[in-house]
Amino acid sequence: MAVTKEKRAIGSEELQDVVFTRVNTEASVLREEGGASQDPPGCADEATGIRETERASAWREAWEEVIDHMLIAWGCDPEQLEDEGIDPPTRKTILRAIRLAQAFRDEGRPAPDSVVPDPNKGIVFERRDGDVSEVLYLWEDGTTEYQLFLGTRLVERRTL
Amino acid sequence: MGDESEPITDDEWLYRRVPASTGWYSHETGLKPEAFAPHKTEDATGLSISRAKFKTIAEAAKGRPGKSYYVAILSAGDLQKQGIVVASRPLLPNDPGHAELPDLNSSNRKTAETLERQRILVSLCLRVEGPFATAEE
Repeated sequence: MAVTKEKRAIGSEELQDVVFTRVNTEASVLREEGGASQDPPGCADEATGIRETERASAWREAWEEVIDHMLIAWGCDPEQLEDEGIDPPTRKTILRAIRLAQAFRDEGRPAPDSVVPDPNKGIVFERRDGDVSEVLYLWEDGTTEYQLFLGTRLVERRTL
Repeated sequence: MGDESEPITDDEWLYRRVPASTGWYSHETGLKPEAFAPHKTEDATGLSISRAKFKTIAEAAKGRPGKSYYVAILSAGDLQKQGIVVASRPLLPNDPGHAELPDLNSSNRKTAETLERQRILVSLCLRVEGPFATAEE
């Protein structure tokens, strides 16, 4: 796996090839290196197809939950997030997050495990599997970043 | 209670207050790195924490009236081992146990080092207590 901390802008198509897929990819590589077991021959294709359909449906529902019960709720009542040392996300950032979530939902992308505000009007989407974490960071200044962590190490970082 | 002029020793416990409304902590999914993210103006000299020598967990959890908070508990020695400096910064007379992590501050909040240190702090968290509600005025 390439390890780089170099920041570079990438096009949206290139982003869509990587965001929230690396967790599954990197985690699978780690499992294979650890000698994970295989399905019996002949059963794999049908079982895989059923699992993938169920998984896609679960992801779509999870994205809906993020959009309806989190992002839209924040937009309707941003004061719920206000506190000492915390500036809640602006309406503009919340709209950016909603559009991003809708796009990923419609593309069948894996849903995040968590969506939280940061203390500076930003919003952070994160997906984890073991030691691998993927982050979509919507900073308050309008920039969006993709970050890949291995444990606590930031191994990849791209401005979108 | 201790003397606020004493330097922080490795055997001290440290408290970090975490607002419940943010989702930065839940019993189901644990603590998030955003709980240690510096504010862009209020953490100019470093991320605020409290020394357990000077306040109880309930006192460390006090915040805005009507709001609820968790308290993340860390060991000063664990932070020192990871190269994260803990500096005593008493705010007299009301907060003699105030301390800061100067390596995580307003100006470096977006750097890779700070983003990594946030995750290191999550990994060093010993436990989280709460939620504690701050009484309405």
